[in-house]
Amino acid sequence: MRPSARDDRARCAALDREPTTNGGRRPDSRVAQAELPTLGVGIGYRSAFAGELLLQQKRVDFLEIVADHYLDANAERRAELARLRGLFTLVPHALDLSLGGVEGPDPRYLEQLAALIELVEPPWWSEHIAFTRAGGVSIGHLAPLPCTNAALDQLCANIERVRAVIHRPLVLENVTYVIDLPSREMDDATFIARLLEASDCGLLLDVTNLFINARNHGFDATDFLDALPPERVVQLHFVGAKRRGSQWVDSHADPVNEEIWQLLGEVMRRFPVKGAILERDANWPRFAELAGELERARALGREAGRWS
Amino acid sequence: MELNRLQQILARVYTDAAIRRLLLDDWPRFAELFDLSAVEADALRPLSISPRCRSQLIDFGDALISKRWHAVRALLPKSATIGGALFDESFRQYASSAPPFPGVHKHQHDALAFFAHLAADDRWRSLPRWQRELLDFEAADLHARVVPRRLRIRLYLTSFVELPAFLRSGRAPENVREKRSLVTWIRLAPSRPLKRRIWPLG
Ligand SMILES: [Fe+2]
Repeated sequence: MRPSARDDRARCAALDREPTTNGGRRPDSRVAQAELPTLGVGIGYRSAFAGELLLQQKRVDFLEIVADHYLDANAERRAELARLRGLFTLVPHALDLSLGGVEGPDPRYLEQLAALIELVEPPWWSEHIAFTRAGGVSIGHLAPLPCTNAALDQLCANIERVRAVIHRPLVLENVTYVIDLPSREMDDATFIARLLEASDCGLLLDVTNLFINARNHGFDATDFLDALPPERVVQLHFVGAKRRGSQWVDSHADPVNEEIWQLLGEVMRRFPVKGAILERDANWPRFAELAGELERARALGREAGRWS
Repeated sequence: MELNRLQQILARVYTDAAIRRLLLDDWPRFAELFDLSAVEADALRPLSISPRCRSQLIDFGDALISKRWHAVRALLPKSATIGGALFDESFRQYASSAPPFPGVHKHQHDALAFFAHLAADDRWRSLPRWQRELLDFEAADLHARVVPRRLRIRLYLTSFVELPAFLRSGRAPENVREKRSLVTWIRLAPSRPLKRRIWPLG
């Protein structure tokens, strides 16, 4: 029999009884989505466009920073972070907690990440629904998890460990996957919806990842959206996708495709999102072109009544 | 199949091209290598026999190498441009047997390890001296940013003071080797900025 959201939550609640470091208070890592501030539309910060960004900062509502770039950072990185903090609201985006990994988060990484988040004081922070390490091997990539009950339990256990030291709201991001692992027990949307309910986390819905997975694995993106708990969708990612042979890939290097704009609009209409980030990693055009994409996304959010 | 075992085996399959080949082409040896139980073999066998899974696995292995290649190119842009096809081909060879580094500086360590691999290649050694020295300078600069050390000194036969002007004017950069350069990288403490100076030696 399929376990209900209540069963999932009970399993996570049992883990939650472990002592917390904030004196047993209800951790504010569970702040209700409705209480989170509206941030608008921003961009994933990359040093490659730092100069142009500073000149056009009024066109960017907030920045997402790759947390890993500021952990164990040298003086130059720390100075960069201090500059950015003075200009923008920053949302750290972590890459290597390995939240779905049986080995759990690396204690040193977790400690450094907690220190960064304490310094930045973001309204929320994010990580991926994936594992990045196993058996002493670092995969160097966000490896997808099998959609199974065991993977859900593992995610919940690791999230509770993380919450014991990081007291800011955590939002979880859907990743792309090339390999459809054979041991699947439920579809992607059910897996994510159950995870959000059981762990009491928000969702960073990567609209481009959803588009790519839907195309590559033959499901309907709107069916996926139907299955999500609307009040948990906090933030979005969007960027162009590219077709390579028969597969779509998340190169993060292309302008946003028309189909992805359509899906982004649909998502903005359905969910009370608080912010959206353009996640471009390579092949940068002039910043004005990126700012044009931010403006188009901002207009979609405005039409949907997400911000003014 | 137990999640722990699944993740451990997948991590090896994703990062080691030789193990991936065993899974695709020699299932009995793959099963023996990981001492798979009957349940585990049942769970993983589709990856080996289903045409769709096989091509997904190959694509995923390629995607991981491509991701590392992009990161390393961004960290060693001059080496990538000057090395051209040799850089790309050599990286594929290096990355298929060297698993990714752990930690937050994984790409930087990957770039430095790859640079050592590249510098040992005979074809690389046949490049003009000014090119090899410029690329060594690029790798040393990356090393200074990543690996904590107070002082680093390197001596080059190429004049790095004059090289940019030579490259801009299109004159033969070989001539700049008449004037040597001493390069120093100094970071007095981890919290202090890195100071790099090029000293022309005449
Ligand atoms: Fe994303």
